[in-house]
Amino acid sequence: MFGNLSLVGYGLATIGPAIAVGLIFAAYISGVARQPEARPLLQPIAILGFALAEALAIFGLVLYFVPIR
Amino acid sequence: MSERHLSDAEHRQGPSEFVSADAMGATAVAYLVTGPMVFGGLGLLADHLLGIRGLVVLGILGGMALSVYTIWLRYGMTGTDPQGSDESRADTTHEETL
Amino acid sequence: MSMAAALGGLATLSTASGDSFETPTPAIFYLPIIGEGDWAITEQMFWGGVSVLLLSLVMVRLSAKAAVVPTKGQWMMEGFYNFARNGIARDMIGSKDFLRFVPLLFTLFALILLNNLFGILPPVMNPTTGRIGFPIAFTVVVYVVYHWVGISRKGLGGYLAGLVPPGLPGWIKGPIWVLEFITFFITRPLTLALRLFGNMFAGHMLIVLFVSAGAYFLTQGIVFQLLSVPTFIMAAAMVLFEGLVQFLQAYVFTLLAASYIAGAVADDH
Repeated sequence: MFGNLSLVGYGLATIGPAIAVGLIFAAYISGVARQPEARPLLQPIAILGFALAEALAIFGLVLYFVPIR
Repeated sequence: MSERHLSDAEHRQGPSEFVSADAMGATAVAYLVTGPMVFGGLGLLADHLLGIRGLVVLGILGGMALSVYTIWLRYGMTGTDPQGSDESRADTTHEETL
Repeated sequence: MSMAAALGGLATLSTASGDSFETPTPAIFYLPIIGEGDWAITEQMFWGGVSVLLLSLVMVRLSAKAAVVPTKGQWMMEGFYNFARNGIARDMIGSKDFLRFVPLLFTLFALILLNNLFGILPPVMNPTTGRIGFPIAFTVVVYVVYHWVGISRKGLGGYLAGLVPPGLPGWIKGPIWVLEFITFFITRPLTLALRLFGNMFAGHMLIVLFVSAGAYFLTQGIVFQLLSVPTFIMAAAMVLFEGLVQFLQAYVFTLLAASYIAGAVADDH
């Protein structure tokens, strides 16, 4: 056994963004499947939503490396 | 070399959607990791040198804001096709796709 | 009861029933043939060399007698080549100056694909790209090429200045430049190497885990022997899935390399 509680925390912190990213791309896919011509409009929105959701997971990754005294 | 010579349907439409989406995701994540890491690291260094606390948080949040802003600059513009097909490459100005 | 104590209890429980199951560790990737330590010649190095020889032989053989009416082998070879040439190089870099980079990209694609597929090909059953050295070497080549192309095209100053998208307010240019610089010079090549390595490494670990668990179940009681059937089915499914992942990762690696080169040759503003 190795690692510490930050690692567990990071694992928990990725659950939310994972669900969020899944929901975003599910909505994107169903949107494009219904209206393929809406793709250029939807894609930047999907990418931005993905970035904003993924940002939360990255915060966890960065905070894992920050030494808290 | 001429376009007519390569009339296979799948070769005309650029790389597979799935794979290019994967590639774009990789690039977006590269931006997202870089911002907080670099500016958080700078904040940590500044904290250490000045003997204060709090600049780390500022660095991480500011770096993340910069990352999201850069992604918005490169991919968030509606109307351009971020897939990077030949046609859009000709008329986009600064979005180097991916 | 604390968590550590509970885990300890579990561990003793599993060791109590005969010889315990040993989870595969990353050590399964270290397969020295000659010597040991950092300078050992490993099995992966041997198979990497074999892959180069094999690809050279097959390609020279199939392209030596190129005819207008192709044989079946030549036809397949041309399809494979066209996939890399048109599907990756031309579509990403643009029809103006993609031809220069076709040899590099095609070599990368073929070599990485074969080295990945070694993970499911029976005599090897070990992806050579699962050792971090191979992805790093491929990435170093791509790294040198795309920076060299960009610098020789725009000059060092122009290349560095071109990292920032134009039309930004002045005060934000500095931080954005730092961000883009680090992304271009460090994070991107790092993710390029790591995603190939990580996919191959994890995939091989999964297959080994299922196969060794199935083999372990066979040595236990009747209930476990029944349990080993779905485990082996799962292992077979993982092998098929890994084949797909191995192809996709070779494709993505080449595609990302092509898109970095495209960013370097694009004449913007």
